[in-house]
Amino acid sequence: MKGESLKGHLDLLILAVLAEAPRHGYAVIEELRERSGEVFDLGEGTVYPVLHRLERAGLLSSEWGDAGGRRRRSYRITAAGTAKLAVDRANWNRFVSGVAAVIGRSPWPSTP
Amino acid sequence: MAEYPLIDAYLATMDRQLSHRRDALELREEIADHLLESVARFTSLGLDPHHAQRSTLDRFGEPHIVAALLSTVPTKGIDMINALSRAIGVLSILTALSWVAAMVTFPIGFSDALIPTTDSGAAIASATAAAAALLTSLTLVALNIRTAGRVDALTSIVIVTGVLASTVAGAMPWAVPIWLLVLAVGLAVTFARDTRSPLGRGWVSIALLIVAPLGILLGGLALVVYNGSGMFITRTSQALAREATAQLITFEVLAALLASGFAVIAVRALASRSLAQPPEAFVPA
Repeated sequence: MKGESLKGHLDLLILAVLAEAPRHGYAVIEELRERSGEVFDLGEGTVYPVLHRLERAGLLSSEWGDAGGRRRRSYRITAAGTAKLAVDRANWNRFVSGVAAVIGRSPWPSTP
Repeated sequence: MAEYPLIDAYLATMDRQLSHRRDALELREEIADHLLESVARFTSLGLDPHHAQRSTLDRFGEPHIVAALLSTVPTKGIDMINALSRAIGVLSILTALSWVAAMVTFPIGFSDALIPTTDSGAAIASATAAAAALLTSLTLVALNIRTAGRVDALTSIVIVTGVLASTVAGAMPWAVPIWLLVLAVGLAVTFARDTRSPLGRGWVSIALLIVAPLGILLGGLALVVYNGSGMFITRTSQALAREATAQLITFEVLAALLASGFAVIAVRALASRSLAQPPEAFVPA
């Protein structure tokens, strides 16, 4: 799935990935690829503007560290980001359920 | 990083694309870290260095596209620029209005050319002149900080001239040539460095950098030469009237020039704030 198809959902995906642990940009992209079963085929350079925008919005924070002699910037979700993630996740689940109901398929992901 | 010439070339291209940003170095370091980690990953999977670099760059994207996307997110410093632009916009409006007020009150307080001055007229003209000097000084200082991004040596000069001009204007508002001349130094310094900025470009620079300071200087010199010649001792009533008219016209022209210049700066400053916002079409939200 190309980045264009993910437009509008990238904020939610990145917040979800960073909700578990702080990660640097490359690790965020790798995690997205792995979790999606390599379905998400992003232009990797396009993820950084999103990370920076989320940071400016106060949903992420970043800090610089050392990684094998290179400077590395890691991102961490903030309290505001966690709250935003909860809202967006609920909205997404409602949206998916609604679409599934309309097209006559079982809701996905199925919830008990 | 000579062992990865393709990565070096890519980063050099990004450097050129992002050179206008204050956080260009941080962006470069972050991208370099990503690219080198990706190359290491592909190499560990068995690719030779050349193909590992090719695959890495293919995945990362065209440099001009990535740079364009990165440019849609303002640098961290842009908040300060926005705040300063807003402050400059408001201060410039007040400065322009204060010079218009000075144009109106000068004839009733400092000049007998049109109507005889009165004590209350002088008090109003004094307060207006002092306010114009103070507001102009504050605007010039804000313009310098916006241009330099900090309080640098030239900004310090403008602060000193601003304090001097405002102090003299507050204590001796009737000594217009003195405080106006000090203010002219601040004007010249500010607009000499600001000729290419969005706020001070074009005729505003010409008016506030050359015409206004030169007019103030020539007006001040004319007064000094006139008083130094002793002509004022034997002047007739007609000469007195001509002198008052000349002073009034000089002040009105200079004040009009300053008022219109700062009005234009106000409009540009407030407009530049909206230009600093990221264009919605590029935000992948």
